[in-house]
Amino acid sequence: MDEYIYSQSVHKDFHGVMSYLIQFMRENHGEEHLEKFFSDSAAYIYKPLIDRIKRNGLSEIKKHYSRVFDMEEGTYSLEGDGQQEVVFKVERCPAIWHMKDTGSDIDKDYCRCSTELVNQAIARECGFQFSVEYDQDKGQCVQRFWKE
Amino acid sequence: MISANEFILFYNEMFKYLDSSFGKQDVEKLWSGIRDTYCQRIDRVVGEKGLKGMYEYWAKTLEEEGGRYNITLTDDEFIIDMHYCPSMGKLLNTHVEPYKDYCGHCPALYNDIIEKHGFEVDTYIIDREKAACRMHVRKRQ
Repeated sequence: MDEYIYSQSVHKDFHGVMSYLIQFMRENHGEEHLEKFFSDSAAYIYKPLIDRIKRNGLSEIKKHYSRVFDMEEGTYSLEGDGQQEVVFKVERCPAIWHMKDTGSDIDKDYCRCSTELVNQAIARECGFQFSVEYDQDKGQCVQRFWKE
Repeated sequence: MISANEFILFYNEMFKYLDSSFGKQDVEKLWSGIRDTYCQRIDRVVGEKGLKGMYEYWAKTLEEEGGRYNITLTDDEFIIDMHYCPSMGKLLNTHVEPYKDYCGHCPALYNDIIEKHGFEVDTYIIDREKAACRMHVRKRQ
């Protein structure tokens, strides 16, 4: 990922607008475009991260998520050796809880698009597998990246 | 989770995707939808406090978003001189290609809301490649 954007301040209201983008795409153009947009965009936007994972392995996923979740004050744990497997347990998702705290609508597909489709695309580009179990209402999930 | 700092990159990609798949009018439809949902706070503070409400809203938002800017508030004008837009700045400092009318989202989101409360808005894109623009709001005579 390009370093510049992580040097900037955090404006959490953007999570609510992201939720609206998901709603807009599904309601106006359907599931097929919703999935294609998030999968294709993730492969393009996260190309620098994808290149680092290809070079250095899953330890780059650990670095990436610890940075963004620390920036947004999420509660989480990261386990695994960083080579064959990483397990990322989110106890309190900062995006979900910011939207809850500010009374912002949360689209039903928020976690599916912003976590499942995005990380599936990243894993696929790197030759890894990805799975996630999430409880969107609680803002909790368990994500797993692994090498078959 | 797509982080708040990564949001702008997806926002920009959605403009490109909608434009190439469905045309510019679909991008404008998205902007109208955002204006009618997520910009209601601006509508409220401008309706209640006028120019002071604009100052209150953008001073807080731009402080969070970053960038380099000057905000001017007088009895009958509100001006944002954006020397380096935090939103366009993120695009210019990454590998992604900015949407051709990325800067168009700002007037699309804000102008109608401000104008309905008795103001005129002029938006000047000074240099997209330098992320520089100006928004000038005046009380309607």
